Amino acid sequence: MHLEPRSIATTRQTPCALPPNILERIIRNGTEEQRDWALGTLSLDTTNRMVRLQTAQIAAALPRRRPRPVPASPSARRTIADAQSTETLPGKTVRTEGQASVSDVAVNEAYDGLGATFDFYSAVFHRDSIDDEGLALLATVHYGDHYDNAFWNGEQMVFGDGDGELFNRFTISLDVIGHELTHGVTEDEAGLAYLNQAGALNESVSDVFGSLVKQYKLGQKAGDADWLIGEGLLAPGVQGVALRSMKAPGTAFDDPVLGKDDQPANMSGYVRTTSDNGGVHTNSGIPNKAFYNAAIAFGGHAWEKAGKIWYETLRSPQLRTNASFVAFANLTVTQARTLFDADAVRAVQDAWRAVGVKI
Amino acid sequence: MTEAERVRVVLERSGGFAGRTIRRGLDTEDLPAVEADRLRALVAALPATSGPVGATAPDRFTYAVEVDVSGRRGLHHFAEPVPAEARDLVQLLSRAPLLPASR
Repeated sequence: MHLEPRSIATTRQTPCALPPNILERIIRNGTEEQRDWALGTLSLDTTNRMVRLQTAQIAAALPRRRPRPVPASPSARRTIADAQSTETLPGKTVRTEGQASVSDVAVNEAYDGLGATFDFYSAVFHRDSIDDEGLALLATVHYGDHYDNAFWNGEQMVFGDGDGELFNRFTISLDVIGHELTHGVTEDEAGLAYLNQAGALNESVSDVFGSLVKQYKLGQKAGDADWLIGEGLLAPGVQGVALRSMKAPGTAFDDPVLGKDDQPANMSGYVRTTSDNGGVHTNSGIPNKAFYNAAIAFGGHAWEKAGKIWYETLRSPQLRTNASFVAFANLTVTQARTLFDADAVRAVQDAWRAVGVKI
Repeated sequence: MTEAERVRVVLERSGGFAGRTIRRGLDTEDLPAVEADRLRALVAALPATSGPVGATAPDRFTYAVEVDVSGRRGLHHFAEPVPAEARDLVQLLSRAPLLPASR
């Protein structure tokens, strides 16, 4: 029998926008039709989780037979396209892998940012692209009219030019590119629901690896990094240094239009809200700060220990799609023990306890 | 809705990479007649009011459009992709003057 754990695992990728707890509520309270739909979706979700768990167990039991013919040094296959201010994807191809830089700075920043993110995941975690199967990377720049955002749409990167009033072009910050591509990694590995604590973890994981992509590119140690997310993105005149600070959540900006950075750095400030999918961009400050704490405790390059622990946690079959902060934190402790030693376990425990996550 | 009616619209955009709520607004009283008429027409074309929605994928936007037509108020919620009948209004409001953040 030819076992292919990785390719089996990819069959799990049935996008389910609703987390299990919502589905369960629909099953309890919905109409008969809604109940049938929710039951079908939930059982599919559970089946996928079982497949992932069993696949991981097979892979662990048969490490030598795991067919991973990874090339010595996988290389990126990048394509950059230009939507020319429309919302039509992918747009006109303007630069492909190996071609020289062009006169359009957004094209070159996207090309370089995709490359830096690919290189980071390849060199540090031996991950071959977003899906670990060598996915070709496609990015569209100049999406929409003054569009104030960048996102991974499940298949490709999309960058807007920003409105120029609040935001500059979204290719300007390397950590933004790393953040968005990491949403693709998270979807592939963990499928964390984009709601409440699981959603805040989804956001935090993107900030963590987005920042690490930048730190890796700059060769920075944890103590020397700025730990800012979206530095350079705020337009001239906006009062702030970035969108988020992992080192000091809640201090990145204070502006009449943008408001004040309201990220908590501790569970005591956890924000309960229905907006922004349950405050996913707000409460991410808590796990962000926990990662920062761990990275500083370890010292050196943040990707070597803290990054490795967080990455393996994301890949852990035990990580559920609706994971809470506590569940995620406990898995980081497990990974610290598996990958390193008792000192690492203590460092990770202290990192979470300092932000009020009780483990 | 008559030609003379005052229409005020506020667009609240939430989510996105930034995760901030940004508010922009237009008022027919501040607009030249042609643009005021266009705003009235776009508001009249909106689908029925709807409850809050979540983002369709990580870092995508959600929009709340608050409409006040001579004191009659309505609230519309959209996620991306914005439905066709609301797209031009959202596009127009995305370039409208910024309003202070609600604190």
